[in-house]
Amino acid sequence: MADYDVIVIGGGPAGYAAALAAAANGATVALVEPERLGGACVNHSCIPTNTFTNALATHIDARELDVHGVIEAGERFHWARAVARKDVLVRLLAEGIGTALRQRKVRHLPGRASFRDPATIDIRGADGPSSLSAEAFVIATGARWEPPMIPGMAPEQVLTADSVLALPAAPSPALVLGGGPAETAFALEYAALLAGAGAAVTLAVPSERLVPALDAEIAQAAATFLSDLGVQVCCGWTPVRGDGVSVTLTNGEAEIEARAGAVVAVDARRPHVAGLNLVAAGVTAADRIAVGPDCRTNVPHIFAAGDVTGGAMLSGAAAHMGEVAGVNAAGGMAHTQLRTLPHLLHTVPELAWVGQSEAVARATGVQVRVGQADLSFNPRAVALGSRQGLVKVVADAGLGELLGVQVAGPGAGEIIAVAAALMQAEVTVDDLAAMVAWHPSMTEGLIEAARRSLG
Amino acid sequence: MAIAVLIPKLGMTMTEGCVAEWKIPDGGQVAVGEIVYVLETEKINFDVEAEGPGVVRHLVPEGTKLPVGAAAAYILAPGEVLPAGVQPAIPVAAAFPPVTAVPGTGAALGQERISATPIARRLANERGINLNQVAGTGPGGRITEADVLAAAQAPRAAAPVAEMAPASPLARRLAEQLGIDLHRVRGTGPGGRITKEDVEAAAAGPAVTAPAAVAVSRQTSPAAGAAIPLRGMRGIIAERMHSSLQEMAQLTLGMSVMMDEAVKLRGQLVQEWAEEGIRPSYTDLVVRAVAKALARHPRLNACIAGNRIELLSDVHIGVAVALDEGLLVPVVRDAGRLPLKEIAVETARLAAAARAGALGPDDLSGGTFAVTALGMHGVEFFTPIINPPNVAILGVGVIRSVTGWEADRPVQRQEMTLSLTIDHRAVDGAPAAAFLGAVRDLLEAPYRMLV
Repeated sequence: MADYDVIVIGGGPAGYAAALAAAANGATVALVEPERLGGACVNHSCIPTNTFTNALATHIDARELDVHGVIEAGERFHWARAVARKDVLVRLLAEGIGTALRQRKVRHLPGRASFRDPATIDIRGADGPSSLSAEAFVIATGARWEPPMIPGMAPEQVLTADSVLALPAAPSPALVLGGGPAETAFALEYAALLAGAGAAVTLAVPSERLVPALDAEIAQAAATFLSDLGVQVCCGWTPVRGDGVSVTLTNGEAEIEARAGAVVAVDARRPHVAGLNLVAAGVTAADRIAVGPDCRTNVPHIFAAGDVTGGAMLSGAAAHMGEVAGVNAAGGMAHTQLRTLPHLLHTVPELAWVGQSEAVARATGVQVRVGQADLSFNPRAVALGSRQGLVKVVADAGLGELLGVQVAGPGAGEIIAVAAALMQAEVTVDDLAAMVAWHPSMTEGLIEAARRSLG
Repeated sequence: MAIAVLIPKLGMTMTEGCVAEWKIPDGGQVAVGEIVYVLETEKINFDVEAEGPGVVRHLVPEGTKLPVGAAAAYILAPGEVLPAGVQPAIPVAAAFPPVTAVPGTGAALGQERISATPIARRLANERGINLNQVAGTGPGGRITEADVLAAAQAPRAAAPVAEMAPASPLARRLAEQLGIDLHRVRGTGPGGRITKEDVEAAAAGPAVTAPAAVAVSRQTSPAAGAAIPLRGMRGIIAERMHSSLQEMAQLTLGMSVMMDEAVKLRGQLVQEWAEEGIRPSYTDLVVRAVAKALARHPRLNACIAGNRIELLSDVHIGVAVALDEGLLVPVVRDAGRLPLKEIAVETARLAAAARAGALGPDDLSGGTFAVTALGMHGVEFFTPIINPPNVAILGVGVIRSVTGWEADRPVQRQEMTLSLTIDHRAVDGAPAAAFLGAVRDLLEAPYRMLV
């Protein structure tokens, strides 16, 4: 008789979703997490970044309040106050997760887990070592930042998301590095928020296009937004060396200098499997733990979910995978559905996409219809004070299937949520084109783009 | 009840067909089985027959191209009119209809102008009523608002969309393009909703592929050393059998059956029905026994849809037929309601049609359980692979002479082994064995199958 039906290793979005799902399906569940609950999402990336990008957007709005005819506002962004607010909100959210776990009678065990054998883990925690057995396991240990080594720059000058938002002031001048294995493009958010906070920012991405997942015109719009915020955007450049006050970038042929007292690397993350002793469990893992659509590893009773499995390395995907893993660990038969996972970057204005870009869709050999709507003619966008923006709809020409939507502009989050829901429900582009929207609203831009795709 | 005369799907890649020639003029009488029109596709011409008697009403002129599954005409019983709401089929060229219909013109679609009041037009447009099918009672036969309201009140006999399974818009459109009946597709989405993937899976299945196989040229046994491409029927079998084993937890149970009585009964029936040209096979006896046993063991007549096991009310039994180029599993529909004689007639028809490449899509889809026989090749026991989305398949082995004992006297007996493969996700060993026992009991006392 095992101690628990399911033991979950890791307390981030994948881990707590797995624990809650397994408990909801009748399993007795323990969750092992050495740090504060919430994982990187709550404590270091999504939530802290979101509080900052929101603070930044509010600051920019405030700067323009006199334009709206309200008041005249100050120019200064108070970084330390934003940090304090972020710390309060993060603690609140982490405590909320603890409450949700307790309500589901999930036992939270502080400590680090490693496998002793396929049915047992050893836990090293504050209360001393212990070992526990379970019928099934869910590994959700997430990812770790792996800041690049840049010769000539001191290690403390190379920052990751968890460290940059703990600083007393925005680092300036700063070099923000994009790219990374999952190409999550969070570097764009950091470039925007640092620039908005008054820092001199250079953004360097290794690819020719700012975000490889996006079509050229949308990526170009995003680059323009960042330039408007004062960010120096360098596409196709990677760092080679620094001297403490600047970093040399190369594109393979030429070299340029970027002033940088700090380097911010937020997208350089690797799945975290160290210390788990996966060999003892029989789980094979190279640089990540590979799983199928049911989130099962090569060992049938051991599941994995979230960043540790590689792939998208996004919190939304992690929570979804966690739920599937939790259901299956409790004996269910669920499978993941990540094709319609929306992406949303809180740059100013926002940048969002779901599904395939036109280039990707065409590369698969599909006949596509494409429609674009210019948001500078959208009344809601105009009322919000936006000067530019773009919605692009990509659909299968024969079937009318919505293959992808990309948005650059204010309210991109609103538009992409609608698009993702429609794609998940398998609504056709014709249906979308015939939809009724509130006027004035950003969603009108989506419907307009769909209509244009029909010609 | 009005019968729609559709554009049938004749091959995997067929998406549209042309009404090349009306064999029955508009308003002409037709009998069951008479040719209504000649369908022209890229590859072949095909005679489309009437499924019932009545008066033919054309919806399109000759030479019109229509998507697969669209109605080209209706067959009406005496006194019957076109079902309310039936629109003339939209030509393929306008497969993407305009988003907003212009009031007053939406119903016309290239036809002669119909005399109707503006309010009647608008109302008809709003309610999706085709003014062609509304009788005018106004001056000079002009259609009035009251006429449209009366037409709207009339029961919508356009049955084709009645009680459609829940399906996503994309799944509906794909099914329409591929000519797949959504009632026969297993939904795996939330609440059993049919998704695009489900329709694609159904399209890859034998239901729709078989007509395509018609086009496959007959091959003689290939010489040793030759390479056989995993394409066409071979490719589909490879894909489906492999995915079946990948997806399901398959377990095979064997059970021996004393066949003395069944052998005797079949011998008698063969003689008795010889004049009518009906020759019952042992497989027919097994099909009949299975159909009866399934009524009391519904767990074996099921499919897995999403997180649920759905017990199916209809019993349609697939019977595997070996061909040179592969294998087809035509379906004996409503096998539970058919007496043995009709099962024998039907399996003979299906086997002949399969070998002639003349099976229709209906003959190949919707099986809820399958029977496969290798006894004629001397196989005693085997492990059949389940044909998705079924949860079980029964293999029929060779009937062999064995020595049994009656008291202390050795006697010669006829014995056969049944091989039942089940999907352990849906059925456990004990209930499967109980079902197998029920089949055995029926075969050992076969008179019970005649009632």
